[in-house]
Amino acid sequence: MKEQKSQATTKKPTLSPISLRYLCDTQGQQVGLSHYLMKAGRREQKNG
Amino acid sequence: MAKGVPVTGAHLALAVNAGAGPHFDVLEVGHPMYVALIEADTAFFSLVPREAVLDYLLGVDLPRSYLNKEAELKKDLDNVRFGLLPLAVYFNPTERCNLNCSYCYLPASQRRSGIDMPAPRLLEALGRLEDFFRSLLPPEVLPQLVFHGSEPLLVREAVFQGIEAFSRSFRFGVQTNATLLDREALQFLVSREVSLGLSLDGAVAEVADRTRRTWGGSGVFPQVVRVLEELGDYPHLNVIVTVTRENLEHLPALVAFLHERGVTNALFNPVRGTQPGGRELMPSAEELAPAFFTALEQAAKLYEKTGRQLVVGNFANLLLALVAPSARRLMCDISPCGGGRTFFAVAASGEVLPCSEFLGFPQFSGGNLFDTPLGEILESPPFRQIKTRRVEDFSPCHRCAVRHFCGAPCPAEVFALTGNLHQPPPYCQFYHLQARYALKIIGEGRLEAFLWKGWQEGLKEVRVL
Repeated sequence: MKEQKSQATTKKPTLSPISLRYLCDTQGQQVGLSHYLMKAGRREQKNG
Repeated sequence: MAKGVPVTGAHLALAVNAGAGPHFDVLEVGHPMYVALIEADTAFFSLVPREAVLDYLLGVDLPRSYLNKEAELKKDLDNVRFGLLPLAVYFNPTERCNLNCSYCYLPASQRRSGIDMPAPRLLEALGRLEDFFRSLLPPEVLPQLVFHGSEPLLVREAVFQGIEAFSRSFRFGVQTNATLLDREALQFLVSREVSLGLSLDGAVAEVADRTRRTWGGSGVFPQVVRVLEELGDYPHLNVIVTVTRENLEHLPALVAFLHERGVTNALFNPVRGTQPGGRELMPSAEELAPAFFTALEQAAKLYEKTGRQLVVGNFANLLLALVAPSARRLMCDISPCGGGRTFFAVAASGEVLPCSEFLGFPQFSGGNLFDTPLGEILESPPFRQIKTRRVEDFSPCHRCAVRHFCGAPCPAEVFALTGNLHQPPPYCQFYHLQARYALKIIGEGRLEAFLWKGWQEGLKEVRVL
């Protein structure tokens, strides 16, 4: 038990890199406004 | 293999920052454990443990993994920078305004006694826009048309006729100072689910009225609040806050004020120096950044406490620029900007400009809607100047790690201040600090607290590391 505790305190924490990236379809979710948002800026479909 | 002097570094094809290898900039983001590595040309970032940054840069795993995905990332970024179709119009049905806000980007002479677009001409203009978008967009996509100003409700009858006549052809919005929104007007707009943008700069009259006043100098705070409270949680409501030296310290109070009234979307836009009045109110980056971040944290704190979110749209858009650059919703913070490319502005005279910010610069008109085909206008020399303004082409932006999270906005403002489109933005330091702050938030695992719900819908995740 004593040995386990010692290992836990000396072990260097391993931190994973963070890399987030999502792609969007060509002519997908883009709305393309300037200083204005419409309904949180989501593209709206005619039947949607 | 020929014998000779041994070459250090066995994997030349994977060597970063030389030859055909990827180029990674190291960026301090103010996080205790992470720093950012950024491949700016594809807007790719990775937050890596601070103590291991050299291992990532000099090892083979990061460059190899990155190069495997580089083409896909580049194509995605190129699409949002160069491949999108126009989808929105800012339509100015009058040059006049009943207010004389000190920072307005429209010339005072126009706002005081400018022209209106008569109703028949407005209907004709909307018909021309309808034809243009029909010829361009897939049938299931609705273009967006925002009646903008000056104050569009000064010509309310013409605007409402337009909304009524073209309800199947556009998703409409109205950006207004709210002073002319009586019960009847609200009923008309709300029943048709028209997006409403209200302008408000403070949580109390003493602050809000410093910049937003009538020509006679009276404040309009009570009228705006009356409308805000009437609209309550109308899902198509958006509030635009112009951040100036006059309200910097009061932004957290305004966040709380809007949140309390059920507002879910707001933009906190730093004032632009496009006209002299705005220039005088521009805060420095050192003042702006901490005040803006404090406002963001206030919104996050209220979200955590109440479960109701007030999204600060311009910052949410920057987060999207980092994690899903081609899904961004606003197009100021990218180069080329959206002006003349994903949206354009129509003046009351019918002149078409790349953006409303250019309304005071007639040399940037691409032609008149009533006598020139829109396709021709969008390819005119003034439009091409804006549509080809790229951060790669001028200094110091061309070597900046966050160049595709900033975009060096805004060309109209830069032109007004320097007489040259190819200059860095006046808020350069702020945009840099803002990008660092956004990366820090990602490092803290707090992305969702600042982004719109469902932001990943329809997107495809790419795993690089």
